[in-house]
Amino acid sequence: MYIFLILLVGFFFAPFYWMISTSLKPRGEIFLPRFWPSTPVFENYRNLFQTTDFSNWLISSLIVSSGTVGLGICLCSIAGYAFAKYDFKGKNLIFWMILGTVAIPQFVTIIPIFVIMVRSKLIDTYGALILPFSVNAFGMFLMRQYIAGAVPDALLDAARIDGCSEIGLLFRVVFPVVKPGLAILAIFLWLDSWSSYFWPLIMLKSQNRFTVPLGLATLYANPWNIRYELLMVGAFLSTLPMILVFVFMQENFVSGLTKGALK
Amino acid sequence: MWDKKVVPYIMIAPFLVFFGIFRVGPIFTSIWMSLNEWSGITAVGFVGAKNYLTVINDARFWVALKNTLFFVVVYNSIMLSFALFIAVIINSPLVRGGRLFRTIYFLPVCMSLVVVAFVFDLIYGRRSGLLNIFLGLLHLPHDYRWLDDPKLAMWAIIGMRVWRASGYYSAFLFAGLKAIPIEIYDASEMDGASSLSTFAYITLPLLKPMLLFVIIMSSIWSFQLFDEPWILTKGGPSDSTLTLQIYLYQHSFLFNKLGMGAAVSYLMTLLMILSSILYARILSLKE
Repeated sequence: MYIFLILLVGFFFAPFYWMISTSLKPRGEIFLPRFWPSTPVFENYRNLFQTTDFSNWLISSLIVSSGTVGLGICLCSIAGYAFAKYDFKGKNLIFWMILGTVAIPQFVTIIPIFVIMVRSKLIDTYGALILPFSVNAFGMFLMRQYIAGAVPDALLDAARIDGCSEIGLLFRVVFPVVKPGLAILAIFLWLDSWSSYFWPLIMLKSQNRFTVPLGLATLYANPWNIRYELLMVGAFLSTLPMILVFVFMQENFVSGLTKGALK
Repeated sequence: MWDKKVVPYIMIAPFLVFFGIFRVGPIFTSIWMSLNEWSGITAVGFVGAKNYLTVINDARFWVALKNTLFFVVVYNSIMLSFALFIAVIINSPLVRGGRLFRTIYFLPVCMSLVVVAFVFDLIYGRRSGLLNIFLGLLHLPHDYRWLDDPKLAMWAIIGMRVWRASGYYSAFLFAGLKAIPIEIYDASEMDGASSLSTFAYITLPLLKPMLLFVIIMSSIWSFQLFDEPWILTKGGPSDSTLTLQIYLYQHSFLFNKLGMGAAVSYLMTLLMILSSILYARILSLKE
C-alpha cells in the first residue's frame, strides 16, 4: 500500500522537480536528457528579471490579485452577512436568483464585458480584471453560510443592547469572528486570479501590464527561440507563492474546500 | 443609527450593483449580441439566427465540439477514477500519515494551468523530455512526439490535466469517504460481505452526493479547456486540440466576429446544461 502512495508522491512531485532543475540548467543543456544540470546556473534567475518584463508582470499580478481579493471580500462578506442575519422583503427571491446564476458559466459574459470595458475605456487597465471578478456568487454564498453558522444571534443582540449601531455591528462584532471564513474566500479568489490566463489575454494589450501567466506566454510565443530556462524560472517563481500560501494555510484550505462541497 | 429595516438593503446594494453590471446584464446582452452583426464593437444590423446558422454550418465548430466532448468524457473518467482510487487508499485504516500524503498530492493545483502547460511541454519533449527518458529506462517505446502528433496531442493534454487535478479531487472524495460511518462497514463485515461488494454496494452509493458534486464541478471546468491547447499548439496540430473555447476566442477576438462569438457561447452553455442533466440522470439510474 505504502509503495503505491510513495510512487504517487514521485508522480506528483516529478514535474515540480523538472521545473526546478530546468530553471537551473545552462541554455545548452535543456535539450539533453539529464536529470540535473552539470553546474547549476543561478544567472537564469537574474536574467529573467533583467531581460524580460518579469518584474512588471509580477507587479501587475500582485495588483490585480490583491484588488480582486480586497474588493471581493468586501462585497461578498457584507452581502453574505445581510442575507445571513437580516430579514427583509425579497430576501429569498434575490438570494436564490443570485445563486441560480452559478449554473451559468463565465464565458457567456466575456464578450459583453469586453464591450463594456472598451466603451468605458477600461480595457488594458487593471480595473478590467479586478471588477468583473470581485463579484462572485459562490463566494457570497460561502460567506453567508459561514456567517450564519459562526455568528450567534445572541452575540449580535447583546451588542445591540449595548447601543451598537447596525453598521458598527458589522465592523466590531462580525468581522473579528469571521476572519477564518474571509481567509478561505481570499485564498480562493487569489488562486483564481493569480493563475488566470484567458481573461487577461482578452482584456490586456500592453505587454508591460501583462499578468504573470500572460507574460510568461510571451516567452513561449516565438517557436524558434523559446527561452525555456527563463520560462522555468518564471514558472517556479509564480508557483512558489501559491505553495507557500497553501502549506501555511493547509488546515483551513482543505477543510474549507470540502466543507463547502458537503453543503 | 440606521434603521434595522434599511440597513440590509444598503449592505447588499454594492454587491448587487456589481453583480448586475458584470453578471446578470452580460448574460442577457450576450443573447442580443448573438442576434446581431458586428463591426468591431458597434452593432451594424439585426440578423436574427444568422450567426447561429453560420456556426452550425462551420465544420470546424463540429471538430471543436467533438474534441471538447472527447476531452471532457475521457479526462473526467480517468481523472476521477484515479482520484477515487487515491482517496480510498488514503482512507484505508492500514495507512498512517494520510495527512502528509494528502498535502503532497494537493500541491499540483498550485501550478497554474499555464505553468503546467510549459512544464509538460518540456516533459513531453521528444528526446530530452522526462516522459520519454522515463519510458526509455523502462525499455518501453519512447520515441513519441507527444505534442506534435495529431493523434497524441489531446492525450498529452489529458495527461497533464489528470496530473494536476487528481490530488485536488481526491481530497473531496476523501472527505466524502470520511463521512461514511464506520459502523456500516462493521455491519457488512459481520454479514460476510467481501470488500469488493462492500465497496460497490455500500460505499459507492453513500458517496454518490459527493461524487455527483465532483463530477459536475470538474465537467464544468473541463468544458472550458483553453489555456493549455492554445498556448502549446494553438489548437493544433491540425485542429486536433481545437476546443470550443478556443473556437470562441478565435472568432470573437481574432476574427472580430463578436456576434458569432456570442452565438458560440450560448451553444456551449446549452451543451453544458444538457450534459449536466444527462449526468444527473445516469447517476440516478445507477441506483
